[in-house]
Amino acid sequence: MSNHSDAGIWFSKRWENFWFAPSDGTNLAICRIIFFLGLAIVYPAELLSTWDMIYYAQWGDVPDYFNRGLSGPFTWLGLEQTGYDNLRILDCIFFIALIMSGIGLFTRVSTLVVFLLGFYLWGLPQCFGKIYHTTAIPVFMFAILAASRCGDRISIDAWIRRKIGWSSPVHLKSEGAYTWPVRLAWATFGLCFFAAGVSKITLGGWEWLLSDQMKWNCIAHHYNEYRVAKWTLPIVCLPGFSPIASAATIVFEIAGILIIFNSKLRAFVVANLTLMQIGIWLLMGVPFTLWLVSYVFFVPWDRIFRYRNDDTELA
Amino acid sequence: MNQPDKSKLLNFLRCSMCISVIGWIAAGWLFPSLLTQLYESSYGDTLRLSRYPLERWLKQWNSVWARGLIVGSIAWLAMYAISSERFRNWYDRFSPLSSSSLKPPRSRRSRAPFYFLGAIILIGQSVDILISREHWPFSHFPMYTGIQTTDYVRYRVDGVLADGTEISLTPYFVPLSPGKIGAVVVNRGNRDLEKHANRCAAEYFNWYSTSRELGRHDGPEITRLKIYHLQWVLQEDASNLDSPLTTLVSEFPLTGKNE
Repeated sequence: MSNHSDAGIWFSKRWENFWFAPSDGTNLAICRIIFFLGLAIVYPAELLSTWDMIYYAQWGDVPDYFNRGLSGPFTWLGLEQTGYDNLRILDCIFFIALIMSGIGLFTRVSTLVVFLLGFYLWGLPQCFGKIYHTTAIPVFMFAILAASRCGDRISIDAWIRRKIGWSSPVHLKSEGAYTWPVRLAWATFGLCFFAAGVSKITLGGWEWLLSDQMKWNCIAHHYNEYRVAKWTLPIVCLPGFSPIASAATIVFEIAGILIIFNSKLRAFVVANLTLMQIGIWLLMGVPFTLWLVSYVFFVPWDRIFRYRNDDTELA
Repeated sequence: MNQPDKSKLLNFLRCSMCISVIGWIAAGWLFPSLLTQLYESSYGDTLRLSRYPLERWLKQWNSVWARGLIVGSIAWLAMYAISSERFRNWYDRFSPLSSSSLKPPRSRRSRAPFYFLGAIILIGQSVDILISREHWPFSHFPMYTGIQTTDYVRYRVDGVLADGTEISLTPYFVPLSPGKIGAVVVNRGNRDLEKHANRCAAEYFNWYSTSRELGRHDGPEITRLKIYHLQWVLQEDASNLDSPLTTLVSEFPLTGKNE
């Protein structure tokens, strides 16, 4: 047998094992619960702040002159700003759909509604002023969960199915139907961080790495609307802070592409990316709360809760 | 294992990798001069190159070239690694398979959502990474790629009350964050800056007044709205936070000197 067929068989085995390893769906179900209910908590909690992620209905009042459009699917689909009353209704439906997706009620429909409305409601603010990238990852997660069978386990739908004598097809567990959504979430995360790292290298160059730009960036956030504690100023002014922080940022963002390769490597890279985003929150006041909720996909929940068999349910 | 086949494949991959990397590096060297000649020729108008300065096209090409080199190098190294038996053996020890035998799916269509979605995400993100563009939610995530110096500017929108007092109107323009309030003023595209700034002031004034009438906020009535440009030289202790260099950019209604 020649080497190229060996390589092909090896790659094929690895591909199948990564994306479609057998899983009973517990991990995916717990990710679904925590992700959607976590967003349902974070989303209204941000009503207490003044960020543009809140008060969606009021996007209907923003003058059309300020709308510079949004390149990409949002414009290609002809989506436009609608009025205050319509946005209020859509916002309420979105919030209800988040809750329903979290508890697993009419999951296929509710996750689809979350994706469609999330895409519109979270895309609309990006048409005004500048794009805030905190919403991109959750929208990808919405799409992944909407296309998956995340409601087959630990859900009201599953309970109803058992009561009326239905069950999910058993073959789905062995075919990886509950594995690929979580793995695709990993890959998406990795790709987004990799993109950020490549941008810093190609757009910032050596000057981004070696100058004091990171220090002045952190200090600049004290001069704008971000709430940054004063005690962080001496930290960012430490000698060597800027190049070390810049280098670490680039290394861990580029390393995001390695998330899919090995569990220990994944844990190391994800832990450092989490710390990086927490660090950005502390030093710059930029809350990546929506991204932090999305980290739920990296936690091996099924190992934590140790399910013994298919019929065991979380109390 | 067929040794001649193995070495043939590896040699083929090595050659292809070298040729493509050298070709890409050569393109990076030759393309800018070709682009410059095109720009200055009559074809430049045909291809609508003249809508942006040449420097902008060259900067865009440099970014695409660098990204292509990074992504292409990683892709080639990955293919070369997979074709190496030594690497495969090492990787099998480093990351053992969790399942030795997997059942093939009953129907290939069951995997259609994965392949469809995966292709969209991979292709969309890859294109935006390579051409450094944003097609939300796909993006090359260019956050904080700029070089921040000690010069810092932002904009503030103030309202003038009947007694002449000026107050900040930032809290009343929710959902626009203060950053977006300023970004709206800056994003003028091809529009005249002064005309655009005056229009922004008028739009902010009308928005504030209309929202107040509709009960969206409880802000005071204003007679005039002003947009200020604030500038600081950053200090390590942020001691000059309250004393920016303030310049009036525009106001509404316009006074005689602004018309």
